[in-house]
Amino acid sequence: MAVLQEYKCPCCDGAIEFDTSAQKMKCPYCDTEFEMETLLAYDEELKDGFDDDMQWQSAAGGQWQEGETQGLRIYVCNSCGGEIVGEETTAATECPFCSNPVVMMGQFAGDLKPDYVIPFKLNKKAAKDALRRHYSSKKLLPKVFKDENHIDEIKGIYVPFWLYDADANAHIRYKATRIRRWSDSNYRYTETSYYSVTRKGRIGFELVPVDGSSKMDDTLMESIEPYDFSQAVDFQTAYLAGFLADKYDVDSEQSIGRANERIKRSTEDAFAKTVTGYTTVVPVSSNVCLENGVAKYALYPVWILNTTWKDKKYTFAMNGQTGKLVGDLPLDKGAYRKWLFGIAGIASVAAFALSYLWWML
Amino acid sequence: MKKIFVFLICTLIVCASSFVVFAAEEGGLVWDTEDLVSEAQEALLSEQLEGIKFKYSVEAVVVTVADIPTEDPLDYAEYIFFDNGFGCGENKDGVLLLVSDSEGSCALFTNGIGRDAIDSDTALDICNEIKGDLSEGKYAKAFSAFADECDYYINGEINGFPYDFTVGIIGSLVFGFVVAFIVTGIMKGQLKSVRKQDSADRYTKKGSMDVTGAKDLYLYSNITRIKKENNSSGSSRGSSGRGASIKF
Repeated sequence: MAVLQEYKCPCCDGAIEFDTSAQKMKCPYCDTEFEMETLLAYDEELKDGFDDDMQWQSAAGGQWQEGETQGLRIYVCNSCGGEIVGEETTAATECPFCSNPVVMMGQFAGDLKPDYVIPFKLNKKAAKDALRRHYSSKKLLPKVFKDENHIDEIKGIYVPFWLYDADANAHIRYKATRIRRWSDSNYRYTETSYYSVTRKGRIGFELVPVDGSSKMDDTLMESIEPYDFSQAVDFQTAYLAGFLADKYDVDSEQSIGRANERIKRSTEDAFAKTVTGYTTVVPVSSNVCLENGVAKYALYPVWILNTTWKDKKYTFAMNGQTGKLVGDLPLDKGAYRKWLFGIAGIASVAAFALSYLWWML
Repeated sequence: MKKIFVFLICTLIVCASSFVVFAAEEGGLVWDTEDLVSEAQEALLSEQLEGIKFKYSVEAVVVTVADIPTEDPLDYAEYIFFDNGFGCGENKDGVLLLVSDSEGSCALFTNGIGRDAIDSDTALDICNEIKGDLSEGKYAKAFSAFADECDYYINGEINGFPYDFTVGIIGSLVFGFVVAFIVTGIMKGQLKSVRKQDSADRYTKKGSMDVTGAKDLYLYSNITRIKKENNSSGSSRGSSGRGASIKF
């Protein structure tokens, strides 16, 4: 059995969790607040003294079959003794029996410990409000979808991200043209001059994020960028209390390809802006070499909201720090036709009336 | 005595008929010296052109000749117009269509209100419109079309062009649907917010860009020349906006 961490209130022994408004740990039972620094010390103390060997034996129920527990981990809740079955990557969750927030300490041991965490700034209510705003003023959103507004699930998740720092050395060659036109009494002339343009140099990038969780859609995670890294703090497990968290299952080597694509594109764009005075500029070859590449491991806060409509699952993600919410919405085809023909009708009548008035004048 | 009276009446009728024919040939608005149209067709055409003169005080004239002595048929049309005193009022408002069947030439000269109504481009359009009928020998049809065009453009110049409802409705519908597709396209776009980030621009270190080498190497040049469009079909616009001429 893996080790779980719960944060107990020293006053009432209730399970405490991170409060996004106060940016402190708070006991939901007696409302006592604790500074994060206090919890950091408390966390360290717990690590020192925690050496339980919690062996539970039960004759009830069957045994897990071979291979059945592959990809799963089983934990025992410190509060109620309930068995928590989590995925291999689950790093923080809540007990399904007593709802106490628990943190799987083993998921952050050794090299698995994140360097930074950006704490949640916005709570579940803010996520619901953001989703409501996301629905509003969307004329082509099915009314039923908007009105029912049933959300299957709202989860506050700390998503593992790899943050890449690197200096890019670029050597880019462009084919460029300048066009000059003139004419005499008989002919029109066009002179096209061709140039080979080369640019060399370097440009630095820092904290380029790539999500390290295979469960999270990369495009969805990129859509809620950016995060303000100045608000990141050194990782403490206490921040995870009350939220879900995953450890990475896509390591930094596997994730670096996506970071490279983005860095290369930005490098090419940046140097292309220095090629001026030409009619056309087309990149012919591009060599981008990275130096001083460093990857950091951080947990970023994300609210995930799921809803189902007409048997299709719609997932929305909200940046837990800035409140930026994204998620594709269904199209009401009937409303689309109404708007199309309505606008076309109004615009046509207006155009006809204006043209007729203009002719009358 | 009765026979003498009948003779005098007949003589008077014959003389009057001769005057009418003379007036039509020499003093009217159709000078068909080459007899390209029948008398009946000529009478109809005269009636059409007189109607234009009556309505707008602008003379529209059709002249057919065997030869055109000038290099530019438009010069000869201008000569005929002024030499024969065509045109109404002090400004000599009028339009003259000169046709030479033997030379296959046609010129349309305009003056005064006729020129305001029919500029060189319009004159060329009219010439091109009747060109087919002229080349096929359908002179009456061509001259009638000329008269119709003169009526349309001179009326437009004096009273304003009539509103073209067909063009107006079709144009408005096209405009309306273009606007509708743009607006609904924007509305559809609002439903999509999940987008891949292709660049890392926002993660660039400020002031970190350093261009260490920049080389712009000239390779070669190409010069292409295109001959300016000229009127290879034999048509030309009048240099001073006085009309146009074509070959048919």
